[in-house]
Amino acid sequence: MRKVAVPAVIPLLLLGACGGGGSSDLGTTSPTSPTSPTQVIAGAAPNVVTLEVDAGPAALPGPALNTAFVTITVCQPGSTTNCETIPDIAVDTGSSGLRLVYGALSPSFAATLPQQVAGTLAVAECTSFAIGYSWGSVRNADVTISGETASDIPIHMIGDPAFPNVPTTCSSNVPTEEDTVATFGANGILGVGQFVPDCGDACAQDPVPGTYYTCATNGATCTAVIEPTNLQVSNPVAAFTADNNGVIVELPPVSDSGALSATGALVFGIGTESNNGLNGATVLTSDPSSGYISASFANVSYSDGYLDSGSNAFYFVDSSLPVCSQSSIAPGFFCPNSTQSLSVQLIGTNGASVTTGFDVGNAVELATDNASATAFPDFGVPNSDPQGFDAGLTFFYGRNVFTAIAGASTPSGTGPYFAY
Amino acid sequence: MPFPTACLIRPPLAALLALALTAAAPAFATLGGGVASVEADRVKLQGRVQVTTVAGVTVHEITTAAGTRVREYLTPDGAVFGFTWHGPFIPDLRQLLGTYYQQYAHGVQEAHPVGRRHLSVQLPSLVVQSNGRMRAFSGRAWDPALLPQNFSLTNLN
Repeated sequence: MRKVAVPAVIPLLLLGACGGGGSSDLGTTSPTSPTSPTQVIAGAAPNVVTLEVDAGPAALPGPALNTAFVTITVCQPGSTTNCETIPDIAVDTGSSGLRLVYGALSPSFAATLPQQVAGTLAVAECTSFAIGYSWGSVRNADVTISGETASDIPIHMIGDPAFPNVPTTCSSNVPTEEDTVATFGANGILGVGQFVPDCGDACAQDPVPGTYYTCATNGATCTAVIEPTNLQVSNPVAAFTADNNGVIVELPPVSDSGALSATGALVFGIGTESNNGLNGATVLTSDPSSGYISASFANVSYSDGYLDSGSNAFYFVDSSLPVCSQSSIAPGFFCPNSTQSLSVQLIGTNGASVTTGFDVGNAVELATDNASATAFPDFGVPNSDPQGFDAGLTFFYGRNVFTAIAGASTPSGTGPYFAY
Repeated sequence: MPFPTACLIRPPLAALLALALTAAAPAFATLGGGVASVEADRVKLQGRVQVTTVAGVTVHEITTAAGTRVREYLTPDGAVFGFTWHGPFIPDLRQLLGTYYQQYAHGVQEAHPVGRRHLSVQLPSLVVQSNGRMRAFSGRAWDPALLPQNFSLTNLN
């Protein structure tokens, strides 16, 4: 497996990076942002960690595409010496909580992270992604990312061999297990989305099958249980002592033809330091339950809109564009005959909106012409949610995207919101 | 807008008849099952039901205890031809798919989803589209052979 060489230093300043188009108007407007802010990618600082779009862990069956990774350090709570540094953790603004693949740690270290218990029973968790599930223990750890530390927080240890029996209510909805580095696609996932606890009040009120369970000793069956929000696996950023109201994903522009890698920054805090101000970005507040914003695309409104670093393409509804064949190297992606210059208006629940141009190219041609690339800004995929517009990592290239945490205050209002 | 799929491929008549028989059978099954199966779903999902009409078809809407809205669409004969979900959790698809579950589970293994958020399983007699991220999932499933004439998939939402 090729490992892409990357520059060690984050560029201090990248100018003139902000997306194509940006001014065409699709529908009703309220307060709009006529021009995108000029992008400045943060340099090294305690609240900044290098963000790499690259091929990811060597254990993957193929290189990761449009996936942004960071390196984190995990320690036994209270210890500064019993720690492991783990690279290739995918950054996900569409989920909350740190999930580590057990196989990415040394077993002796993993065993020192205290297991969460409820009475005499061990607590385990199931995480549902739309394409599969991850299952494993809930343990506590100190999580350090650059100069920020979340102390003694619950994390999800997926694929923990102490919990071999996956409950049926965990595995049956989407019966694809993703508990190894190869199947999960990363050494872990850093959920820095709009919410603090991953499940929230629902899991604190009644047992929700497919979320939290208690299990008797090794090998025994597990039972869905109530999990108080303060014990749920939670966004580590919210547990930092400062810079804890959200994040900024800052990735440089990438050529339409793709790039071997892209290096940017994950910045903690919004308006808390000199390097994380909104800098003219438009705040699009989102639904406090779902985190959705809305979108207007090709004169159709979509209610399930979101910006998501954990999606590796633009996912939208467009029945006019051809899709690459299942036997091609990019099955299921859009395969237009020529690159399409498109435009979407993203609209917050506050009525603010921004219209942004984006390009969708022929994924087979792009992947063939630049076979070693891992960053492809023009990848698009049909969205099978008829109400969905998912602006994935492709949208993030060349602009700083803010994700503010629900209930957290920032100089531009209270989260949840996206801004760019 | 419907996803461009093989959903218009109709199974042979024999398969249709088999499904019709399934539909008439007493219900635990849901997709393909009768009205009684909606009640079984409601009990299993610990929800409450509301009955409405969408584009001329009867829709039983169940809101689960955990807050996900499930809508089951019935043919004029009273068989569930499709269902949708929208909310913080994916509902119990084994329950809702009923006798279709095994082909779904097999189809998932054959599917090649792009990314983490979107899954599409397309079989001759079953389409399942599952989307979303933590706290915000949506999806739908239907049997193309059971779709009422002139019913547009845009109404299956």
